[in-house]
Amino acid sequence: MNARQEHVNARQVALALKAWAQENHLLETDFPVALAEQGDARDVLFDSLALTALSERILRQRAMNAIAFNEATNEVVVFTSRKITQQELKVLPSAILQEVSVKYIQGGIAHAGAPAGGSAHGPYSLHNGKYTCGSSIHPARALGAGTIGCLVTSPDGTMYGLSNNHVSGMCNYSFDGEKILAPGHNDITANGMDPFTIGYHTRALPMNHGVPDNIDITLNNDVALFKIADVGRLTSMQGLAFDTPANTFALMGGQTVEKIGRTTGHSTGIVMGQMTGAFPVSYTVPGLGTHQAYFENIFVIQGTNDLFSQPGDSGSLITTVLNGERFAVGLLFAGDQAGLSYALPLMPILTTLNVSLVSNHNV
Amino acid sequence: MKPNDAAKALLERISLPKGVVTILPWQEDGHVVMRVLVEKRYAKEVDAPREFEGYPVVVAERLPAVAYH
Repeated sequence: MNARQEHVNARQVALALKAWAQENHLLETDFPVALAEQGDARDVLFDSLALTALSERILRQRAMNAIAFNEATNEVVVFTSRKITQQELKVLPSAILQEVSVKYIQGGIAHAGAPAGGSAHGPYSLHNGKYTCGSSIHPARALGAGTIGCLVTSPDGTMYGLSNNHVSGMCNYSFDGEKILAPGHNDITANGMDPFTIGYHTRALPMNHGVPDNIDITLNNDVALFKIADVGRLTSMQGLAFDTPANTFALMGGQTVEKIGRTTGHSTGIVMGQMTGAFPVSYTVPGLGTHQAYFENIFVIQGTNDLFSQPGDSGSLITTVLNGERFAVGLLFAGDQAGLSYALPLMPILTTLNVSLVSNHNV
Repeated sequence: MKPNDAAKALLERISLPKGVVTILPWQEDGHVVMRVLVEKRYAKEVDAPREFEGYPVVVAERLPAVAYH
């Protein structure tokens, strides 16, 4: 035993076990706690544990779906989809270097995102371990959860997340550099992934409160950008459904549209028309009460089979398919008691911000 | 007249303070209905025709829209 192995802890073992499981394609889902790869930890496991071919076969048959660790008790827990028998437990390692105990538990983990081909969804999705667009975000300073619509780049190549001003911009109250969490507070659970700083608030388009007689509501746009902290952690995939399209098209009445959002996941709707005249939308500003901002150029969407959106879906990118090609057309931002959803057209937003859609990123 | 142009003309004709009325040319099954959505306090003050530029007109109270935080 060398000096490095004398100090093995639960975190190292969990990391090593994760690396081993991923290399052998044993994990059914992504690791619930996002941790960086660590070569030393992997060496510790392989040097001391020497997982046998029989252990690997058992874990494959019982379908590992997650690994967790508890540093206080120096314990690692391996979750499996099917129960491991007492006979199999005799084969599997129960401790590493007589320091870190290993337990095996059936189930007990929530799935992140929609299972492939299923209609169920979670507040966020991971595609090949990368956080997807259409997933939960929110400023760290206030409780809540909204949606990251898509990734965009500025002419200098900087990558940003696009969402609503009332989500990442906190209704004009996010400071420059305000930390944006992923997932948002409402979606941080014991068994879910650790929240991380997905980016930093950078810019919001005007969203001024008050009636049209007093302010120029033509400037109002519920849109904000946040600079991505680590582009390697994200993908341009919209949930697990499809990639963010590279091109845009005008949002217009009669279009069949889709969106991926934090609350209702993947939904389909029809654009019923474009509002004429100023339309008011209520906002709750954390700590400051409710305000009303008026907008022009709003489109109304009705869900095809179910509601197109619900609270928490704000910021979702809206797309449509024309002649077999997908285009981005709008940004979801509000809804009403009748179940209608409200969207802003995307093309003028991207033009105003001078940014382009990011497609095929970590897909 | 196209639905959006008709909606703009109808909005001008109704002539209430800005922000009180919104008109949605609701398109369904190939038909368009002008939905005149009015703030509750002004519901009795709306003077809208039953038909405008060939489109049927329906007046309704405007439901409050909320940002989907």
